[in-house]
Amino acid sequence: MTDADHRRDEPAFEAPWQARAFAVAVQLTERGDGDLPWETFQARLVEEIEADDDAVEGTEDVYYEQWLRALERLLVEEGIVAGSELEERTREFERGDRDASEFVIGEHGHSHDHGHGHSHSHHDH
Amino acid sequence: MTDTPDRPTRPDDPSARARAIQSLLVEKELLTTEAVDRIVSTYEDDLGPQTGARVVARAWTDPGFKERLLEGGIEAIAEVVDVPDDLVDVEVVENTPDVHNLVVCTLCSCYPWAVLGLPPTWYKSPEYRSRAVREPRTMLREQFDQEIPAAVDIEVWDSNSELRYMVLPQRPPGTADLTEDALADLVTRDAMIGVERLGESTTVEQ
Repeated sequence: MTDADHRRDEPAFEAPWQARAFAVAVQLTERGDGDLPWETFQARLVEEIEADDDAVEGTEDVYYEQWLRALERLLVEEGIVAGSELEERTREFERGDRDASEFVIGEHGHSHDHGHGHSHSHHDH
Repeated sequence: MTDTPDRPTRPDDPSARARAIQSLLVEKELLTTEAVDRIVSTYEDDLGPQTGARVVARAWTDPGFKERLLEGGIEAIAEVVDVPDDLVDVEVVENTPDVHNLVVCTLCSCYPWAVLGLPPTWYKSPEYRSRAVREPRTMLREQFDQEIPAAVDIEVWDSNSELRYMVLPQRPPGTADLTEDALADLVTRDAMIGVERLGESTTVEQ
C-alpha cells in the first residue's frame, strides 16, 4: 500500500451488491424487538473473516464476500429462511427469471442495481 | 447440488445472492426495500469523516464540550451533529503530548460509523488488524509515514460490537485564530483513527 492509497477517500461501496448486503444486515439487526441483535451477525462475520485470514489480502470484494457469507449463514442457521429456498431464489436471479426491478420503488426507485442492461430475460429451465 | 442445505457457501454471483436475500426477506416482511435504500443512502451520502471533524473542532474550541465528549461519547456528539439513534456508542480517546492513541478492530471491522462513516479498505485488512496490535510504532512508520517519538506512549484501542473508538487529536500549533469551521478542515479521517498524528511535526520527510 502506498501513502496515496491511505490518503484517498475510498467510495463507500464498490458495487451495488456490497451496498445491498451491508444494508440488509444493518436493517435486519436493528429492529427493536431484539430477536436478532447485531452480535448474532457480527459473530458470524468474525468467523468468516477468520476462515480467510492469511489466505487473502484485504480488498472490498473479499470483505463483502465474507459479509455475504455471514449473512447467508445467519438467515439459514437462525431458521429465518430455508437453505433450499435461498438456493432456489439465488438461481432465479442468476437465470434472469427475477431481476432488480422488483426492488424499484415508484419513480425514484433507488435500486442501486441497474447496469445489467436487460430488463427481463426469461429462460425456460 | 451437493451442498448441504444448512451451509450455503456456494461461490455464486454475489449480486444474485444479495438480491435473493433481499427478495426473500421482503416477502417475509422482515424488511422493506425502502429501509434498505435509506440505509445505503445514509452511509453513502450522509455519514463520513466530516462529522467527526466537526466534533473534534468543537472539542478544540469549547473545553466544557470536550469534557462531556470524553465522558459521554455519543451523547455529547449528538450536541454537534445528527447521529442515527441506533448506532453503537463511541468512546473518544484523547491524544496528549505523552500519549498517542490508535484504533483498530482485530476481529473484523468494527468502526465508529456515526462519526467516520464506513472504514477504508486498509482498516479491514488482515495486515492492519494484526500489526496495529503487534507492532504499532513500526507499522505507523512503515505504512503511514508517522514517526511517533520514543517518549510518546502508543495506546491501541480494540473496537468491538458494543464500543467503537475515535481519537481526539491534539490541536495543531498556530491555529489560535481559526474558526471552528476552519479547524474542522484540518481534521483528517486518518487522524481520528490514529494513523496520523496532528499537533506536532512528526511526519517523516519524504
